Amino acid sequence: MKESSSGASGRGALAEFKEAVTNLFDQVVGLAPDLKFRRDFPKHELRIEDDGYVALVEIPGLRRDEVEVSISGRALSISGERARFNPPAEARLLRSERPSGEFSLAIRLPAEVDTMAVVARVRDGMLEITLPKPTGGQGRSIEVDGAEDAQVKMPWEEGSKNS
Amino acid sequence: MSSSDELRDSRDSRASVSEEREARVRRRNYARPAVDIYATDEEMVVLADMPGVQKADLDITLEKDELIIEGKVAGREASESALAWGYHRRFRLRTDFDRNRIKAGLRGGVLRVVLPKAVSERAQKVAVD
Repeated sequence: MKESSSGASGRGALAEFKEAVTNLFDQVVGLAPDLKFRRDFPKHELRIEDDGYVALVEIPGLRRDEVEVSISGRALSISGERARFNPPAEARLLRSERPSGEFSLAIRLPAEVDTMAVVARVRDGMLEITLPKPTGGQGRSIEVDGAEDAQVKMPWEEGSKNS
Repeated sequence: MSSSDELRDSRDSRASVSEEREARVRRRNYARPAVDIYATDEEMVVLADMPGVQKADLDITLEKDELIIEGKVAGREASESALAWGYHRRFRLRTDFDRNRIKAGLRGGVLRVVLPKAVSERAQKVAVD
């Protein structure tokens, strides 16, 4: 078995470039029903509230386990995939406007938030992420959990030795 | 079969004075929902993306030969959101549907309207002796 080189998921840069060009071409020509590069999907908004921010993202038809939300510093990212709609076998598709495909959004927050207090939920096809401002002070110390003598094992150490 | 039974978009023709303001808000802030439409011999199904709409704020009307779907997103107007405050779209029906059996459901922001074709519109199989 061949081992893939490190770095980008084993796919060659050339293949990625080719795909990007194909997608762009399809998009320009209007052939792309799977809208990887469509900028207006999903529609979203970042609302500024007194006590923080609220990000709203339109994700009609998606369940909560079909979207992924993560936050790192001021970078909020949301990704997911909407399956392409397939009508029953005997049906004729008369219109197909609803976007499908993978999507990902990166929202830069104007200021730091309390990342531990971020809450996301899905209701009526809307993803709502509440991002409260940090409470009090500029920073906080984070308690480190675990036994005093516990050693942190890094992933690459797994299996290299059995203790 | 031809595409004669396709739903066609139609325009708002009535314009009563009382509805003027509402119509203006709708034009400016309501979105035209994206739809998928498919047909079988028995029925036509419309799926429309209407994220944020709750059942109570959904309005589906059948007027003569028009199907009108409309839904409001609670709280959007008050918050002056840049997202859609609601959705509105009308279709001209070119097929005869069984009006008493039209069904609609809303789940996760996706509206599904099922329009059963009137018996006369269905493809009839002729038995050959």
